[in-house]
Amino acid sequence: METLWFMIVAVMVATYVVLDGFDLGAGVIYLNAAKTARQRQTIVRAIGPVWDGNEVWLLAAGGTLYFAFPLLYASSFSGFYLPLMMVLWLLMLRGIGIELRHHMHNPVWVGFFDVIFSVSSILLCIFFGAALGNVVRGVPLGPDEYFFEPLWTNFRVNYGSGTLNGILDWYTVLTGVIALVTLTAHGSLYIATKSEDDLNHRARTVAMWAWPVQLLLTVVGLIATVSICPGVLDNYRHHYLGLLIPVAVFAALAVMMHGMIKHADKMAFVASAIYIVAMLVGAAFALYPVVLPASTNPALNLTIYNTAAGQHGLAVGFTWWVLGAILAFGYFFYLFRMFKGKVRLEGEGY
Amino acid sequence: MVPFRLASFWQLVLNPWAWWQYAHNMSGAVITGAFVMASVGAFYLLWGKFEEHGRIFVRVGVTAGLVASVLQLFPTGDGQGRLIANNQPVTLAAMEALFASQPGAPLVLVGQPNVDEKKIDNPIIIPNALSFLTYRAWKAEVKGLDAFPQGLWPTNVALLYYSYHIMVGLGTIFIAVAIIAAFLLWRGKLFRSRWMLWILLLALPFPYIANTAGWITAEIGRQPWLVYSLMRTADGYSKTVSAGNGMFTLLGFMGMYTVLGILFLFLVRREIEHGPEEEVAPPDKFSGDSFREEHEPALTMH
Repeated sequence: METLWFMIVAVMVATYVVLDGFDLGAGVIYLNAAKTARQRQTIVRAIGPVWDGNEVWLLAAGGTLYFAFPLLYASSFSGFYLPLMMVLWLLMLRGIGIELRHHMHNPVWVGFFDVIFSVSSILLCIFFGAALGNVVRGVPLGPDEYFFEPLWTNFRVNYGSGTLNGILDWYTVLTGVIALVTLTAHGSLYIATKSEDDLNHRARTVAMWAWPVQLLLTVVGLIATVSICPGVLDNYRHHYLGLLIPVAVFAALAVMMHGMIKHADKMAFVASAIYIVAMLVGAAFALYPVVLPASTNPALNLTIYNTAAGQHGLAVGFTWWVLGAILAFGYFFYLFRMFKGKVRLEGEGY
Repeated sequence: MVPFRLASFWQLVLNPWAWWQYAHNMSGAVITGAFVMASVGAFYLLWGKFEEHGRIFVRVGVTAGLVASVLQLFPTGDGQGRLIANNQPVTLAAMEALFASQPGAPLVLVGQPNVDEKKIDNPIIIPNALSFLTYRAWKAEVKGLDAFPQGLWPTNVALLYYSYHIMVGLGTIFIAVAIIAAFLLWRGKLFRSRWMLWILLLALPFPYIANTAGWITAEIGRQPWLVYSLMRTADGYSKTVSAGNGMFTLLGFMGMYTVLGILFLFLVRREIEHGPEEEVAPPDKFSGDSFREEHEPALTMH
């Protein structure tokens, strides 16, 4: 049952990153790729009907975490208090940027909210990447199952040296940059699928430029991860099936490039989504059954077993989760069908 | 501490208190919507613009406001009150600032609780009314704060007393305003009664205040417990978050909500003065969220 809920949370986080990832990425390229008011409007309309729905997956994943692994939720939300509040502020600012630009009649203020929207999107990508980096690297869990990390200390990965690790060290900054580049490409490809002519061309060009960086960072990230926590390879040693995951990562990257060269934006976008899912599944596969590794002592690791809720609760919750998931997936299927195709500025609405 | 575990899903979902609280919340939301609608309508009628819409707004707002404000008192508010009397008697005593247990307890309408001297300053009371409201008997004994050790009292008796009295006082005023306005509406005089339209216009902020006061009542009232009688608030906070961090984020939220609040007032005022008639905009000027703008005020806060 714990394993099932581990997979459910992993699926929900991956769904969130793939879905909100493209509208975050659209925010990243927003100021640079869109040169005219019409192009900016095209980007906003491309994500307008879906961005807030996408963000609900973050809430849903958090809620599921709270429900299935309450101790993990309590420990990580206490330990990551300050960065999580900052993420919340950034999410608020981003929503405000998207929504209020419509209500401003004066171009000065439209420009102001455009910058708010884009800058908060960029920072969110980095924060989410750094958060994932922290979970993979481990945090200084004490025997009471709680921890505290300052935002930064000396930017080194301090294992067992007596110095506290910062939330930001070179490794988590690296994962933050990986997330930024990945989501930039992902968002650019989404915008490419939704736009025509000049914007379509510009968006694809951004993704083309991001691609070599993404490839390089993927390799560097893998090497860095293995070098700071060799334990991540254990699950791969015992289950060779896991080796399919890195194969999928690099295959997805290849298909992305192929799609971009062929101007097959949809193919490239789907490949980018598969890349993201494969990267996240790879991380989850390496961690399992640990959900928050302790940098202090592996015996203090938080695992799915010592953080899970009671069996009865998990069983009842699964029934209701399935019903909820059917509704949610049905809604998203309907939503994306309704707004499929390229964005056209003529006419009412989006 | 032993972690809490779910024992029965249906008992959790069918917890009677949850349903009373849900109903009370929802009718509070309808009161807010109804009074805001009536207020905007009254503004249009007093202004002499968009009068056709103004009449619809006032008619719908007053009718819905009457139904919801009565439901807010009875049965939903009354139902909750009796649950509190049975399950959290110390909370009831603090809400009413009833320091001494007594038969035929009075209902305090106005007065300032003096917690140190355990009395109410400058009281205006209705004798025996609290006993009747709680137990349906004028001479019933109501337990005061003196019946409980001070360690079980809600931590801020004065704030609890005020938030509860603000909520109930405003709720009573809403019923009175809604009844008078509905009577005038029924007699066909409301749209010409400028004094009543002024009252409806100025009522706008008060449902928000009443809802907030109600929330404060519920949260302060259950102190010092996080999970009532099972887990104290002092055992539930994040021990790794320093007070300085907490203050940093509190100040941050206050700053952000102040800016948002000012923006909200500015945008809502502009929407109201712009009026309900659809502006025929060129398509490339209108750039988003047409669905949302019809259903929500100009700004949503999550």
